[in-house]
Amino acid sequence: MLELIREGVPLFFSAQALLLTSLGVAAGLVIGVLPGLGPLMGIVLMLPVAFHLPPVPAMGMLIAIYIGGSAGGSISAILLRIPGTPLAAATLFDGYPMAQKGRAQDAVGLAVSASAIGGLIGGLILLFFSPILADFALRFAPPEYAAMAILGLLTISLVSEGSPLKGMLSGGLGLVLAMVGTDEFTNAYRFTFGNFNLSSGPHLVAVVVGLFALSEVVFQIEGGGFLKRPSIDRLGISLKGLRLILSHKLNLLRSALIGTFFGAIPGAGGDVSAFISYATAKRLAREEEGYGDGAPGGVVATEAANNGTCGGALIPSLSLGIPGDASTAVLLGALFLLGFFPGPDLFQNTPEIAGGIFLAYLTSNVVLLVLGLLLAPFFGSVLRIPKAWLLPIVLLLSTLGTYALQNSVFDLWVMLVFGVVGYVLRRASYPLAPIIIGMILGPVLENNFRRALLLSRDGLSIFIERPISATILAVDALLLIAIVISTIRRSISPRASASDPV
Amino acid sequence: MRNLQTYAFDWIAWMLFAAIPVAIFWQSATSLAEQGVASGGPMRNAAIYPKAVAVIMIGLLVLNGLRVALARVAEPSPPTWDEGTGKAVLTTGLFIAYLVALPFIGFHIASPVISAVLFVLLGIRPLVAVAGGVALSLSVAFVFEGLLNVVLPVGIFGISLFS
Amino acid sequence: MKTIKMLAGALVCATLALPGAAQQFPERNIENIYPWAPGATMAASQVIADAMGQELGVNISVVSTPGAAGTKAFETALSRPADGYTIFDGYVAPLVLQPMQGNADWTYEDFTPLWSATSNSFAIVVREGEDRFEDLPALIAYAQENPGELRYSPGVAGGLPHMVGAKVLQTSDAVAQLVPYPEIDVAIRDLRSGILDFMIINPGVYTVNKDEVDVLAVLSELEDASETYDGAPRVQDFGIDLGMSGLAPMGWNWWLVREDTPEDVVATLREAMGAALNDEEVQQRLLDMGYVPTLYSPEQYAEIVGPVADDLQSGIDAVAWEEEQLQSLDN
Repeated sequence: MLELIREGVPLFFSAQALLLTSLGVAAGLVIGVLPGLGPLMGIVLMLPVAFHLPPVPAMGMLIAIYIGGSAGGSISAILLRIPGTPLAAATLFDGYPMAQKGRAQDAVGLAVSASAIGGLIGGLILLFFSPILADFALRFAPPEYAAMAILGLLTISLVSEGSPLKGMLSGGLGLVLAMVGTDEFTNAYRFTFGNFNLSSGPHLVAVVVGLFALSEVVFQIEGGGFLKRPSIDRLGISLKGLRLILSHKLNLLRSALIGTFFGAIPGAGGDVSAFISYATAKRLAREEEGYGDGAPGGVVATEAANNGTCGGALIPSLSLGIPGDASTAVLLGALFLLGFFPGPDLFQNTPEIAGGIFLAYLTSNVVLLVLGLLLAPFFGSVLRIPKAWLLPIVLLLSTLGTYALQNSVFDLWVMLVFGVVGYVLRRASYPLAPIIIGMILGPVLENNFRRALLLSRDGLSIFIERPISATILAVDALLLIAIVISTIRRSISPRASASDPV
Repeated sequence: MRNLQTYAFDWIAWMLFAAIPVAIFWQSATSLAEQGVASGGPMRNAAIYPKAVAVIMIGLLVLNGLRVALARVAEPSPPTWDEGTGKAVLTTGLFIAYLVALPFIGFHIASPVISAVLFVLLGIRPLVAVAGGVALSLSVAFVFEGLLNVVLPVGIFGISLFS
Repeated sequence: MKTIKMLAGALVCATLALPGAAQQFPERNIENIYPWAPGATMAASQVIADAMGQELGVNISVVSTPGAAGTKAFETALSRPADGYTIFDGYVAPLVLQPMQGNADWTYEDFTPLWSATSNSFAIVVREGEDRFEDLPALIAYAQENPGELRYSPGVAGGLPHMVGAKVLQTSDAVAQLVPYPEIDVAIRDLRSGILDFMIINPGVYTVNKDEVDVLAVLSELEDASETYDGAPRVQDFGIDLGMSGLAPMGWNWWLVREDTPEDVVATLREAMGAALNDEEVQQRLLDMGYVPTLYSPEQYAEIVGPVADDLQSGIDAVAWEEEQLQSLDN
């Protein structure tokens, strides 16, 4: 554990890496503050830039955006009653009433401090558990990896918003997209329709940018109100948040742990953990604290949880290569494209990269604390930028970033097609995250499945004869049963499930 | 018919997904069979896994089709025409025009133009929009072309600014 | 009025940068279209690109364009104008191998060569501390007695390392179960955990995984090749004939441009690349990464690349032979 950190120090403590991490946190905060653009969008927009950097600064920047973005949403939730990201949806229960009572400053200070400290707690758990998990995963062979890939796909379908049936269809689309290109075993062209541009399949990043960024731009344009500037309270620079949080130590620790735990379950994500942590804090609180009416504890509970989730989500991502949520799926994609393989090998062969990533994660949270407290007035004023300026900027950044991946205009067409697909799917309430997870896990599933059959002396029995593989498959079966039950329940009373937190 | 209207986007999405298994079986029978990789063991058969995924998707599609047909989904998805829908369609059209033009006229002409046009479309005053478009295009080009050494589309005029 | 000033400034910039008729090549950045995913091998190309870019006074970016066993990169580069701003990183697979197998409609004679870049030889390795086979003959003897029982991975099926591996097995009439891995780094993991018995690897992967593997034999007859594997024995040291010579059993790349590129542009590029490769510091950096600068000049292109094609045919045959053997084992 400490060795990893030691290996990472020389790579991470360079001017470039530190600067990019700080910039990443700032960019993440800005993007998180802006309604509709979450940490995922931030990562997506900066992804192409990252590919032109050395691995540790690149991952540092992306992780910093993830952290900053996860925290930024709280600012708009508190000031405007609009959560900048779904992660901050629970923050407005108490954050907005606090602002109404003239305590906007305190609420933002608390939110930032709770996010940063919650994130740090998640980071320590990440640091402790992921090498252990990675060590265990050394015993994995092709059958185990195939079973794990199925596990990842099933969990993301089960827990992402919307019906699990739709989630599985989205995941299926991801698997199919991953098939397009050159088959790894026979070198045959699959589903390329004679177009050489497709011989390595649609580029993951082009698909991600299309699905998330482009469809969001269209949604925002449809919403109208291009020149509106919301009127908001002025914020000052203050360290009071740090002092206030001292009276919520227990709540802070508990919420961060809840967040980390749910983050580590593949697919769960920050919005779920924030709601659960809020509900827990509310239940344990005394009556006179007034939850829902501007209780500081409520802000602490949600924000500590949703940033703790970041650390948790990185655990299965880095040590097994199974992403915890959509943002970490894209982070994994970045790691792949930078030439590193998440999983035990990352810790074995390139401990300096794993260590660098951990350091970037921890540093990002420290930077978040400093920047969040010092620059709160600036981030608040970002909310005053009208959409008319914002949307073309997002569009041009998406375009240029996607082009720069392989200097290819074809990739831009791919991005456009998936922008349209993303729009249709979102209108029909299909979750998009399973598509990305399917695209990343697709080759893991297919290649390891076929490889397992080549290794096996007698067909499919290799999957059951190996204890770890059999155990994971049993968990897969349980998940499948859970999906079936949930689907039946939703179909019997569709409206009741519609009120689930989205 | 009411159902088709109420769940319009659900049905469009359904058809989109339904095209996938069709494409998989069609390609397996034609292109993959021609390449000789549609049969045999795990080493030679590149079609068996896609077909397995296709079969699962068909099952899911049947179930989901039933749910939508019987109005058993949580959210209706009717077509709507909001304040900005017209502009959204127009933006999409403009973006397609931009992609078509990009290889010919190059990044440094196409991008300020589309940015400025979009700014105007979204309600910014023309003069400000033009300045904003040029500034935006130049600043992103500076980062990608100047700092990251990406070769942006130069077009038939061969224009590059920061390399 | 600030906006107008900005606009004017931008316009001035744009006009200044418009290409004048008499400007010297190169006036903007150059791209090297590299046919594989990023990794150690790409870093070797980047070393040459940086040095060559310095000679030319522009930046040469190495653009990873993987797909279709390397031919996607060639197709991409062929779709660009023949102005010297696009260089093919001409790896043997898309340059010679794929056309031989009917997967591409060009031959190596359809390009104008710059200098040859580097070569890397392959080696047969087992996991560190393996006690079943102490040397290559022991491994082969085991595979002869137990056909199909040993499992090995050469990385991608049908690739160059696979051909060379299959060739060795064919000449010694030994059969092992092939298990392809798209990324050889991942195969190392399964070698380590005992799933695979041996592997064919390249120097880049060897350098990273030195502590995990033992080299049984280097698959090349050249002295230099043995050095990149810390002096491990070569196949012929065990009296086994590889059946391939020179560059044929190795991975190598030769930088190319389109055939119809203007002569003065080609001359400029050749001069810069020659100077870059003959720089001792550049050579040392490549050697440290496990890549041997081959230093063949543009004039030697036909004479070096021509014979490789013949030798590779025997590798293709070896792969077909192996497939037959494995299929007959299944039945």
